Amino acid sequence: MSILRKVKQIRELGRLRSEARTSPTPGTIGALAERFIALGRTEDAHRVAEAGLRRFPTSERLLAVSTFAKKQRLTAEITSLKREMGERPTPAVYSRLADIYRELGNFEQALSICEQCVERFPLNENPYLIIGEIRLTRFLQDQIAFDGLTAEKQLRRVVKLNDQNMKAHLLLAWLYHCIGAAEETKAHVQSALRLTPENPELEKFLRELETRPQAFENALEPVASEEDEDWDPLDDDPSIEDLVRAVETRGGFRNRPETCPASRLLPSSIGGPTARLDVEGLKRNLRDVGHRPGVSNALILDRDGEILADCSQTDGLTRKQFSDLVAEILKTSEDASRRMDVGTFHWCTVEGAFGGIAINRVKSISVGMKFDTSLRPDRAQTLLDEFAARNLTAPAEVTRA
Amino acid sequence: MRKILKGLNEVVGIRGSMVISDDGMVVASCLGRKLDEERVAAMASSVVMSTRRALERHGIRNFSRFTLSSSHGKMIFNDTGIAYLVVVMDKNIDLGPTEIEIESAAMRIRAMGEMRLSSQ
Repeated sequence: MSILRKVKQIRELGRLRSEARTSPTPGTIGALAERFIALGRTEDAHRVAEAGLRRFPTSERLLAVSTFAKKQRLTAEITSLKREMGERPTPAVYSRLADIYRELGNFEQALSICEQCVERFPLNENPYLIIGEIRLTRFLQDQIAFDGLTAEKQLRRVVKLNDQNMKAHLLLAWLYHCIGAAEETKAHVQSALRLTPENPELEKFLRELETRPQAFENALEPVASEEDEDWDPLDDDPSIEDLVRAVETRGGFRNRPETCPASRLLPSSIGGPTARLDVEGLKRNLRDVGHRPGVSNALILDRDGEILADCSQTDGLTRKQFSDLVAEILKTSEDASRRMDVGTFHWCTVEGAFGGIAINRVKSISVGMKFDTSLRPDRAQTLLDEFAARNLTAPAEVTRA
Repeated sequence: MRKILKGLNEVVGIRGSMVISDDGMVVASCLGRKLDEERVAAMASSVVMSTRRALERHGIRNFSRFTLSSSHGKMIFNDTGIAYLVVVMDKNIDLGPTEIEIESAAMRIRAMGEMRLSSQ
């Protein structure tokens, strides 16, 4: 490579690094990571993308770069394992391959490999453990009952096959603790302690479970169903299934996941605390989005569909009309995601002759925008992505108007 | 139509595709092993009809495409003019190039419908 070309590359890299440092957004960090990939520096690309994802966990661009970099690293091993699966299949081969797919975020493929392993080796605990772990990770992230119930079923299968499986006991303790099943939590913590008798963190947790169970509870009140105002799924000795379904209904856990030591003893990704909002700041910044050429409506809704901020132009829908429309499209999208077992809704775009409507969801906050045909839908989605990244993922003091 | 869907499914990251009529009936389907036809059809029909109703209530005629991204997958609902093409995809798929393939499949399905109408 010529010296001139090398100097140009170094300058370009320096410029991208500086942009990512002074104005960190999924766009600037993604551009830096992609440059590293173009230069063949996949480790650096992965490191930058992962750092970006810690800050902007829902950024698809960063996720794509991180996954690509990881895949480059693991391709040789995937090829070798697939060959072994064809020639000399063993539970260890299946498990390692499933683990790799899980690391790459390809949960569907990981689950498929585990199911193949279950068919061939039904008495081996590893595939059930991996399925349980994947489903529990999804339950902790998305709070969807199906994931929680499947995780419980698979992990119980593991301990039935092998009661000495420490990881399964810890995962079950974690699951039961999050949903508020105190007796089941204690039972599995005690089992884990029998396997590792001198674990001060687990011992302390067990003591607290026995003496001060309410210390872990979050502030969420039970949510009544629409049919019966007095209904509380957690009255009258609820079953495990009731408790898991209550998590989905309430949109939150009975006990905070990070209060269980399993969250520190096991590697996992737990969603961080909900971003706290500066509503006045949101209103100011939403105006920038709402006044862009081509945009006729922009708004932000909270978990309950209440308008936190709104910017409607005279040629757009009224504030009420647009918030109703966004709420309906949101509900449709959330239902579809749940029914298809594809996790929680992140974003959607509805395009037509009128232009389009783009909606992003970050934790419990939804941002919606209506635009005309002068704005490309992918550009509209990027605008919302950047708005959400700047305003809804950096922690700030809460002030609610 | 099934041949078009089969060709579409060969694109990396596409898990299955289906064509449903305006009133939610399955016209053709080619779904991956893990996708249940009834469940996908019910979901797709619900999305198409709910979205159309919501738009109509606010004076917006119809949509040509609905793209939905969730934490573990993506879906596209594309109006071909005679029916809706529904595509279920992996989460990590790069939408840009895939949308070209989906648009191409939608155009071929539209052309099939126009040919059938003109021959009646």
